[in-house]
Amino acid sequence: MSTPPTLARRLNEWGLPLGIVGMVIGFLIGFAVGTHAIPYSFGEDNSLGSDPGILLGYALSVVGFLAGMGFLNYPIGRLLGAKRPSEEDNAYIHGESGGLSRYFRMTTDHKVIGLQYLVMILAFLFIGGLGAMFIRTELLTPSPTIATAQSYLTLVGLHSTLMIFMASAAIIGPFGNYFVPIMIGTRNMAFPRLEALTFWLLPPAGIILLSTVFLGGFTTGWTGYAPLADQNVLGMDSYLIGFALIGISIGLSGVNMIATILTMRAPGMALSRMPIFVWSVLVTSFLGALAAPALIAAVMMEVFDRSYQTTFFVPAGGGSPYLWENLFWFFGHPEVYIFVVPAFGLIMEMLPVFTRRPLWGYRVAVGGMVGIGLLSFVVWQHHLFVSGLAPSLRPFYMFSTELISVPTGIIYLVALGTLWRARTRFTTPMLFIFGFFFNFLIGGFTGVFLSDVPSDFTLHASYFVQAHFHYTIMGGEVFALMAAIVYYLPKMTGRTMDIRLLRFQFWAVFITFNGTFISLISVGILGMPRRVISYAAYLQPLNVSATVFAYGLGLSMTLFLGILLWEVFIKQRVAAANPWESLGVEWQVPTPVPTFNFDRLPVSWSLPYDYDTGKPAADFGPAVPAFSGA
Amino acid sequence: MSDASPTGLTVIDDAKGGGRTLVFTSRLVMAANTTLQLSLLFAFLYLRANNFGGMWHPSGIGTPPQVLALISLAFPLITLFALWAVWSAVSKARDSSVSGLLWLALFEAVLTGAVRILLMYQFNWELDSAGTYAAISTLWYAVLLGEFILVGLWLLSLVMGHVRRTDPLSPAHARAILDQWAYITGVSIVVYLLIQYVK
Repeated sequence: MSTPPTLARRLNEWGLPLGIVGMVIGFLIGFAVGTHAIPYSFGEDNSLGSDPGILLGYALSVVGFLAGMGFLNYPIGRLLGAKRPSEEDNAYIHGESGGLSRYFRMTTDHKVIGLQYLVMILAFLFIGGLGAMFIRTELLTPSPTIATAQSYLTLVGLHSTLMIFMASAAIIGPFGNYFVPIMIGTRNMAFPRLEALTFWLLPPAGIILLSTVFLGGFTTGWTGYAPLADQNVLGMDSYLIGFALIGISIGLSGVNMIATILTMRAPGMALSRMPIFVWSVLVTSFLGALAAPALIAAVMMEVFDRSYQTTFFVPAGGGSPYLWENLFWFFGHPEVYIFVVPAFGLIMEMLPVFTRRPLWGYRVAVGGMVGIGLLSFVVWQHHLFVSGLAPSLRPFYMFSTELISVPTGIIYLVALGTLWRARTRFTTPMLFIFGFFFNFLIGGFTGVFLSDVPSDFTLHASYFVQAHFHYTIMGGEVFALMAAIVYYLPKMTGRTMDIRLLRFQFWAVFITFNGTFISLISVGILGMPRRVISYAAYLQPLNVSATVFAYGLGLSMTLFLGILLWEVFIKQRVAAANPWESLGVEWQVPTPVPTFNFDRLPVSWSLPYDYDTGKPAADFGPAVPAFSGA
Repeated sequence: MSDASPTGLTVIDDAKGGGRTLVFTSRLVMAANTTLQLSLLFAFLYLRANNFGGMWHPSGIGTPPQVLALISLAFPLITLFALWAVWSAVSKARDSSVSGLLWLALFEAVLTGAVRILLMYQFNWELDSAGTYAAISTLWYAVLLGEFILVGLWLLSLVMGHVRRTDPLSPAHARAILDQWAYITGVSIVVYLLIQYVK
């Protein structure tokens, strides 16, 4: 017999509104304490300014948000020695009977969290994309038209930070959280509450970041370079707290994923039988867990500089801007692989399905991803080639950076080997996969020039760098994201998308993306610096070309979102249970996936790529046949 | 490929990681914490080595009070010993001594936090002109204080669960918190040596 809902559960039902109220209250308390009490403790002649108030306000607003969402109930209960939550409470928190409302409150179901991530990622992709449209509009003419230099730099910083924010969770957030537990045959993540926390840290991070426009913005771009960061107005505090929250989320998510993958796999699921996507998530999680603390350390120093007037990055006080650059890029370069490695994993997960062949060189691919992960920690100083890095150090970092193209090339070899003499099905996800490989190839080639010291001296801080980065992240990761959405939507929502419209959308996005960024590679080679509102008149034709293509890119991305929303919420065409005839474990469970994934845990006995024989990779017992919906 | 399950298992209920997951995750957190500590160490050595503008450790800027700094290391070491004894007792199912040892560990942990707060109050540096030695020392001590408080809160939750019998202490929990406390105590000793003697 079920008991009536407890007060905590009733409050939890109002999680998001209560979280927002808590956020406002937390900010007001923090601002008041930071503005009045902390400076008071420094004496009357302090020169702390308003930064302590803003920073403490933001910090307590996050605490207030989490308290309103119900995240503090469990730890406070533990501190008081209360009984552990009952089975009924756990089932409620897991979202077992929550309907639509569970998507707006704290739940511990990894599938709900995966969908929450997907919605948030797409929302921030859209907002960041709008920023890009404003930037390109401004750059239609060589002189400022719609923005001032200050507001333009804030726009560039917001666009880039939001997109980095989006990209850091774009694959692992929705697809890692949703599918990794199913793929390894477990019922949940190792720490489900922690998993929910890693998601719910991000909405306040986004809000705090966007609030910078009310505080004067920040002019440093996403890299937050000192000493400009020390000199910036209060808007810089939004960047610092927002980015710190992202770093904390990445680190905690990494720890949780590693623990889940390495200690909770189903019987028979040896490391050598793990789906390649799980390997990519594992490698990425190590990068996140080990790199994010360097960012957090750097942010703490900057917060101290801005709030307590320390001088970590102020040369006059004994500090050095290079310290920020080193710590930031020690995180920042592995961060690039946090974006890309899971995209590689997803692509390699889908390739065998559409080529109907086993993944060629599975172990080599795993080695390639591990190699990328290891090397990514020893390349960061190539970002400092022109910043005054000791000349004797340049060869090592040039070599290590160029070396990273070897494991990356291995991923291409694996793809080519899988495609070789395959009966490839040119489905829509497969088009995006080909798009991914084409774009990432250009991103990789342009990257070689930036790892090379002489050419980097010419190209550094130009639009060439910007275009290279967009080729790898947007052309790579976002194309993989679109492929994955089309591929996994039937499993995640039970809905399918309009293939004809999607094919049109693919070609539109592919052509406009390349049109935009080939134009920007060209202006970069011609010497146009990034992050400036004015440029030489002779660069206008290429800038106009980039802007026109960028408008097309914006429209085609909006079309993708439109198709997605239309199909899921309005048309609601029911998808087959296994429309791609995949052998993956995730496709053998029913749709919608049961709350705890499996009636009994599967016993894994092979890799899920045995398309030569069509044998499934795991034993689910007699009740669940393979290809049940094909 | 054989059709038979290589595990030979036929009935599987769950793959809960349990204690193994907890201990493993505790070590993962230590690995992540190592990056944080190494970042602070890098900052310390970088700023010291370059001594920009002679502002690493300007004359007139002292070091943290020696006696209080040593006391702030003594308490976590006693806590560590108590936690080790807790782990040993729980592992050998000697339940009678666990509660007393847990209270002792918690008491020493509280003293650790209190003494470290007191120590930081004694720094007395004007941070805007005290140079980067004072800046990194203050930040590093603050980070360690935060970590001691977090692990101390975890310890409090374990003590409360155990003494109220709502959640008796498991060997995995005892091991995990012992590992964490040992790690932070070890880092504190290294930081103390750096700040006192590599100034």
